Amino acid sequence: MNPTSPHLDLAQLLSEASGESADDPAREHIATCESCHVEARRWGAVADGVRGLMADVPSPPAVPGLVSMPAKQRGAGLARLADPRRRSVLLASAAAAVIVLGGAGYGLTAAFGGHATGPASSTTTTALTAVNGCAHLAQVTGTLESVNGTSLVVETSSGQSVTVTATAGTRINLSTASLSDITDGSPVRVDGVESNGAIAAQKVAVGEPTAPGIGKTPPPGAPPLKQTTEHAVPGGTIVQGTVADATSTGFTVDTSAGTQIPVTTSGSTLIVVDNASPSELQVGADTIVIGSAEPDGGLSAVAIAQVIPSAKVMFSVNGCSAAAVDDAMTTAFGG
Amino acid sequence: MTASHRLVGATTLARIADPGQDDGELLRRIGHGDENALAELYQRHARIVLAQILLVTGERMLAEEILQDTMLAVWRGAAAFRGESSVRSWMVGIARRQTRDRLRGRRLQVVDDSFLADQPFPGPGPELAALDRAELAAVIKAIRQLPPLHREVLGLVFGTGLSLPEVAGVLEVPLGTVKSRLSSARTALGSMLDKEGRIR
Repeated sequence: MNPTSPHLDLAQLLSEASGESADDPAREHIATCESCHVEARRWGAVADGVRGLMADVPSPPAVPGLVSMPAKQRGAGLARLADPRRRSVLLASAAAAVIVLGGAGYGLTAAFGGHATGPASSTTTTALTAVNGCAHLAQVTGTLESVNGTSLVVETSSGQSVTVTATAGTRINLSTASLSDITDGSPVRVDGVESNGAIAAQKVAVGEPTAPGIGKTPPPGAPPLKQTTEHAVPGGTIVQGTVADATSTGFTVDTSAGTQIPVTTSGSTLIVVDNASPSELQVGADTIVIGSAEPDGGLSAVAIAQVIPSAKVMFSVNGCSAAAVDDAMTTAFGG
Repeated sequence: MTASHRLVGATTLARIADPGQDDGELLRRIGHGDENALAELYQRHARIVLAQILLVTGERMLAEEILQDTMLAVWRGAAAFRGESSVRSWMVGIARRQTRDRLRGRRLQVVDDSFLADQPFPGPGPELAALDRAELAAVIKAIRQLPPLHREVLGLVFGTGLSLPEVAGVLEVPLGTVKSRLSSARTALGSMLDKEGRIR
């Protein structure tokens, strides 16, 4: 009861309106108090309306399907959602090594946690796992055993080897890079926090992105791409341009508008190489490959990513097409 | 045993029986990278969280995206959950922040609580009478037309199963503000119903 009033307080009225069991004194009071009875009835009308509206909500999207490889190492690491505008989510982690491809947009059907739902096709080996929701895609996660030109071998945690073929269109992203990969003249995209005119980099993407969107280098004469982002660094700043004066502690970004923005790096700065070549892949590194299953059990790669063991990287796709996967890789690792 | 003792006892029993008690264990497992636990948590709460998001945004596709973002945030942040609130209110709070971030920049029709505080209590008016005689379909239609701030508090209080203090936690406002916002929402709803009634 309301200590300053003989009537029920709001919480009691709402309980009554919600059909929850009120305590005996409250029930006794409402049975004899016309004012509280009317109030409870009015709140009941509101509650019914809200529940009617919320009950009309369609079921949530089918729980995204997961395929995963056993964890080698767990760690908090980096986590990011690449592009919140996207319909569905693809999550890759060396720690949990999870790939989620799904969303209502294209009919995801598998249950969450549906690991290793079988071969991508009847002719592939079980080393490949289906990408639920994308019938023509398969994936393999494991350790890169060898690189021979465009032919790679990935060994899964269960010891199975999968031959992966990289094509001219294969997107390769490396988040296993180091500060030494930041060299003068390299295209670069810096994601960090601005302070006193300098950017303390939390992520540096080296390389020329090819996918449309935020990874594009501004055309000549355009203002420098410098925008607030909610992605890797909440409230942070993105600067894009060309590396100059690279040292072990930082570098300068020359923007297309002719401005120079100092950037500092540290041991915690994540360095990624976007659009790398197969020869840049590191043997022994955790590797994720998404592509088309070949009849011989191999995989024709649409995208290859190498991630640091402690990283937990999330990225999203808005479809099952090669372009969508490619775009997601770019945004997540290089964008 | 006094009534208050019975109430405390009943509340305690209800909490023990509440399957939500297992949510903490699910979060612990999620924090260790257990995807099955994330799936179970999703199956338990996604519908209500989605309904709340949709109530505020009014856009299904956007709401589903925000739900996805929310689940990713849960995956990321599970290990940091300190158990200071129920898991559902924690998730709803995450969803609210995700929604706010996504709607940032849009011109929202909101009511400023400081404005509300300056308004005298209007007393029973035609809007309450309108609420008394309104049919459910009309109430639902009117709720859809309320400002997001009002839809949000109504959904949290009546749709998510959270207590008023939990709603205050989710909204990051004092309990009194929740109550005033709630009353304001009901008044606005009644006014809308009254207006609709006059038009008809």
